[in-house]
Order: sequence, then structure tokens, then C-alpha cells
Amino acid sequence: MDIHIESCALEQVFKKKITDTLRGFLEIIMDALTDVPLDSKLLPVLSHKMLIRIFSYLSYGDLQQIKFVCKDWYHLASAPELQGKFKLVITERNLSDIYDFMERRKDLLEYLTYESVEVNEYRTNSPNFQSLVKVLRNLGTHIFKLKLRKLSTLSSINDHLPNLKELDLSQLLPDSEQYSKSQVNFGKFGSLESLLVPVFSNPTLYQLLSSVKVPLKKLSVTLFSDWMHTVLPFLKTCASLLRWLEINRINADLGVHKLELQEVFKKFVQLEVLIIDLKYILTIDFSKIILTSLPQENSLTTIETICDADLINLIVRKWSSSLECLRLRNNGVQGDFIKQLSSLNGKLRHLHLYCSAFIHEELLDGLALKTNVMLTGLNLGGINILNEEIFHQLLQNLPNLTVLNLIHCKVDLDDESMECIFSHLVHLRHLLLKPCTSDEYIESLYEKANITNLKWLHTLVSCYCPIAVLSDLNLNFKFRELNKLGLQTCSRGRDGPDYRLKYINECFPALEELTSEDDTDNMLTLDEFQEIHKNLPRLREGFQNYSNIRISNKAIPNSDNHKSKRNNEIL
Amino acid sequence: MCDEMPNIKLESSDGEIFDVDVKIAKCSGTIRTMLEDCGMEDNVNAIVPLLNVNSAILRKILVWADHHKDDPLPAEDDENKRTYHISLWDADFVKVDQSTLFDLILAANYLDIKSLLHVTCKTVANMMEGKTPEMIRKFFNIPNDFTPAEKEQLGAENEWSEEE
Repeated sequence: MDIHIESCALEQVFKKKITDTLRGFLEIIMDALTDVPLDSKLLPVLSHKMLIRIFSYLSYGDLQQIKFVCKDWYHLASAPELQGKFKLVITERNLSDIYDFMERRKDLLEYLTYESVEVNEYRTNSPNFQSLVKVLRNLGTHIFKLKLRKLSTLSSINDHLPNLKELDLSQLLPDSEQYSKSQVNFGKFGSLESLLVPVFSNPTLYQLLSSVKVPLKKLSVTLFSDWMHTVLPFLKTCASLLRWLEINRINADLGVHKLELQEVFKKFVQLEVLIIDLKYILTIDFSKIILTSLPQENSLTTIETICDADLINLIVRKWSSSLECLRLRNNGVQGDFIKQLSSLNGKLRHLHLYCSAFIHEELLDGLALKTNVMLTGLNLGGINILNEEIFHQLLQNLPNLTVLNLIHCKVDLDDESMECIFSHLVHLRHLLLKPCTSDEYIESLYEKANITNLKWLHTLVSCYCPIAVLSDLNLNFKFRELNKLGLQTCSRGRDGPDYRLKYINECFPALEELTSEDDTDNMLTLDEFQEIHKNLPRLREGFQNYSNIRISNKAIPNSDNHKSKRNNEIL
Repeated sequence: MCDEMPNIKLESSDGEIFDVDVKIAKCSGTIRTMLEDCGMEDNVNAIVPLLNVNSAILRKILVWADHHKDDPLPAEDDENKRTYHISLWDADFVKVDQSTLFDLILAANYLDIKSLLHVTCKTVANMMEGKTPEMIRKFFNIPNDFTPAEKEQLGAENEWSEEE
């Protein structure tokens, strides 16, 4: 088929290149043989190094399939260079399988070299505790990144994690007994760089942390009155080397601790990412103390904080040259503070605004009065956009957006708005929309620019309408890279599940995660899910809470490559 | 320096000599280093032997280099390779049969042309996307060397992991 399509073009090429040598002709004909597998052993000409390089372009779901092509590839897909895409998740359900596997197939142990391991324990006294410890000890030297829910587990493998770099305790079970009983010597994790603690912590944990010997680069802390005397000295010792800091919760009298806080934050010199968690920290005074004390020499690239116009002014004044990503919440109903952002135009790459303000021109003034080619990620949470023309102008002035999240934005998403997105934002990779609000027949969309312009999409959350159009118009278009899909029901609706199955099977060959809205009669049934799964082998369970997807800027800044784009793609 | 860049001669593995604008030849990191290190830049008559690239592939690569000669040098490896874009011209350029595509990968690697290596590797990766193992085997003509028992064993292991 491809040959046929190419042959017309081929004719023209022939005319143009008529003076070329015979070899040239041959080459053109070969060019026409697109995607035709030849009958020889071709891939083996590529070295393992090259194959791993090729595999590195694949998604997690694709890699899982690749492993079963042949033994060679199984090995290659487990190469250290690709390990970043995998994570072993030990649950109470699969623990005994993993344990048995390790006992029975010692010859295959070499394949089990997970660098990232997560243990989802939920019972305080699990009967399989010894198996778990044995499994973790087997994996021990490979483990580079570990997420646990119980300190007792950590203390049982305290001596077996010589290469541990990132320890995530953010989901520790809120069981105070485990803190007092557990003896973890953090000093034994000689390679530790990153440590995350739970939002609802316990002072004992901070006492244990005083055993941390190595300088941390990444840390999350909780500031509670009762243990400020332990946390602040700890933070002070870490300060000069920290690059990434999250303050995940505060419950302290800032008046009492103000001086100490100022003193601690003056010690920072190379902080790049500062997150003052928007979910739990709603007082602006704390942000003011920190951002005022923090020396300008810290090249902050990412700031998350609650803010007002004054604080934005301060941020702009101190860090406009290094800032790439801002996540702001404002509790006012006026959008004036947004105007201040105009001084960051041409520098900022990601912006997440959360406020309940009613916005008119401020948004355009602040973000893109003229074309802003730098901004690639935009999440407008909660904002009331009153004027659709301004909204359309805004989108047109942000031609390089790769992420657009409007899930929480209060704007009418009618057919014109969709057309505006589909015709102007052709670089989008992640698009999260609310269900459309159009009350016209779907045929009104046929004439408009359609979603095939967004051929690079990796994530799509929307109602069925844009996809239905593809099918209705018989465009035979496939999103080859799309692996996350969230479907919602809009007022326009479509009848019958057959349509939906058809759309999904037709358009999304690389689909890995599918979520459908579950609070209506229109949700996908289990049967439908299974039917889809037959055609889309990569499909796993749905991705949860797509409405809460936000920048996951959790990577430790790499000292060799400061300015590199980090993993902050999804807003 | 005059505006007109001098030409140099590249010799393919099968002995064909190509007269090439230095600016175009310098798309290749290997040639760039060779010229700079050996001080061959002013030597118009120098012949650079490329032992691993045959004339058909070299000709194609010169077409690529000519088209991209004014591109800025690419930054270091993009961390998120999946987001790398392929332009229409590039996509058209790599519409070749598999053996040519693999030869292009090897040549791009040997000549150190990062943008071409990106585009060719991504193109092969795209051929694997959305396919089952059986479809991939068929497509690339790879024999299946798993016994059913092995497949089952390793299949179980596969279900324990998640996306990082």
C-alpha cells in the first residue's frame, strides 16, 4: 500500500533526478519500500548498544512487550540504562510469588535487578514479614530508589542497601508505635541523596534522622511546633548543599520561630527547587519569611507557593533570571497579581495558577500580550475566565505549549474553543480538557480544525466529541504516541458503547492507561475494558485522578547538567 | 577567512571520492574533530577515509548534512527522548527499507551526527510502538527463542513492575 501511495511522488522525483546515476535510481526505489520487512537477519547488524539506544525511545508499556520478542532483547530491555522506566512494586498479594520465584529459580535471579522498589505494606504485623525481608535483601545491592511504608522493614534491611540514593518515606503508616520501636541507622546509607518524609510525621523520625551522615541534595520536611527544635537544626546542617526542598506541612507559631527560620534559610546557597506545598500550606506569612531570607545566589528554577502581588514582585526581583517553573495559588478574587508575571515572559517555561479569581484581561497581560514562545506548560486551575475572546487570544499567543491543563479552569469549552486549541497548539503533548459545553449537533465540528493536528499527543483527557469526529469523517488517523487517555461524557453524548470501543480501538494503538469517567451511566463496563484490552496489549489499569495531575518535578537536580530540562512535563 | 568555504574529499569504504563543502562535512562530529585535531582545515587536497560508510549511505548522509548544515548544534541528550520531534523533511528522509535505515544508524553513530542518530533510532522505535511481541518478531524477522515454560516464568516477573 505504501508503495502505491509513494509511486506518484516517485514519478516526480524521477523527473527531477533524471541525470542521477543508476545507483541514484536504485536508491529512490528503495526509498519507496517504506516499512516493508525484508527477508534477512537485519536487526542483528545493530550492536547491543544501539538497540538499547533505540529502546530508550520506547514507553514503559512498549518495553514490557519488547522483552518477549527474544531472549537477547529480554536481557537488553533490563539494561541499567533503561531501568529508570521500571519499578518493582511489592504488594501483599504478589509477595509470595516473588519469594517463590526467587527460591525456585536462582538461575533467573540475575534478571531481578530492579533499581527502584516500592513496598506497599498496609498491615502492621504482616505474617509474611520474613519473606519480605528476604526478598528485599536479595535485591539489596541493586536498589537505588526505595519507597516503604514501615520503618520496621527499613530497620531489617538497614545493612543491605549500600547503594541506596533515594528513600521515600512519604507514605509511612501513621502508627506511632513503629517509630518508637524502630532503630534505623541512616548513617549506614552512605550514598543517600534524597529523603522524603510523610506529611503527618512524628518527632521520633526526626531524632532518627540525626543519624544521617551524608549531605542530602533533596529533602522534604514537616514543620510542627512540637519538634521544631529537632527539625530546624537538622535542616540547618543540610542547608548549604540542598538543591531541592519541599516543606509539606506547617503547624507552628511563626512568631516564635521567625528568627530561627530566617537564620536557617539564609544558609542555603544552591537551592534550585523550592516547594511550599499548596495543598496544606495556606498561610502566606511563612512563604514571605522564607523567600525574603533565601539569598539571591540560589538559582531557583522552580517555586511553588501561595502568593500575592507583593510576593510575586519579590520573586521576580530575585530570581527572574533563573526561574523556569512557577506554581502559584492566590486566595483573592482579584486577578491583579497575574499582571506581575509579565516580567517573566520569555523566561518562564511552566506556569500553574490556582486561584478562584475572575479574570478578564489580566491573563493576557500577564502571560502573553504578544506571542510568548517560551511558555510550554500551562495549568489554569480554578480560574474563572469570563471573556472567551481573551481566552482564544491567549491560546493563539502561546504557540509552543506542550502541556495544557484546563480540567479545573472555569471556562466554557465550546466548539470554537476546541477549534482554537486544535488549530493553534500543534505542539501539545499533554492536553487535559473538561467535557465540552456545546449544545450544537456534533456535525458542527466536522467543518472545524480537528484534533489530528495534535499528532504528538501522549496524554489526552476530553469528552468523546473530538475523537468521534475522527471516526465520523473516516479520517483513519492514529495517535501513535498516545498512551494515556481519559474519557468523559459531555452534554452532547453519543449513544451506545459500540461507538466508544470503535473509537478507542481505531485511534490509540499505543494506549497504556485508560480512564473513563465513572459517575455516569456512560462509563465503560468491565466487559468493554476487556474487549479493548484484546486489541491494545499495552493497556493497564486507568490512571487515577487525572484531574490532579501536576508537575512531578521530583528528580534530583543533576549537578553535571544544571540547566537541563527536568521531569516537569505534566502540569 | 573568505566567505566561500573550501571543499574537502571524503572517501567511502568502497573507494568512491566525494567532493564536499567543509561546512557540510562538519555536521559530522567525527570529521569535525578529525579536521580540527589534524589541522587539516586548510588543506584542500586532504582525503578523509571513512572506512565504515559505503558510497550509497554516504551519498544519503550528505543529502541530510546539506539540508541541516545551518542547524544549531544539538544540546546534550534530551532526558525525555520520547518527546523528541521529527520534522516532516526528516520523516521523509528516513522512509527507507530496513537495511538502509540500520546502515544509516551505524553511519550516524560512526560519524557522530547526533540529530540523524536521534531521528533514525526514533524511527525504528516507532516501528515497535503499539505492536505485540509476535508482530515485532515478524516485522524484524527475529526468531522466537523462548520455550513456553520460560515465557510463563518471565511473564509472571513482568507483572510485578510498574511504570516509574
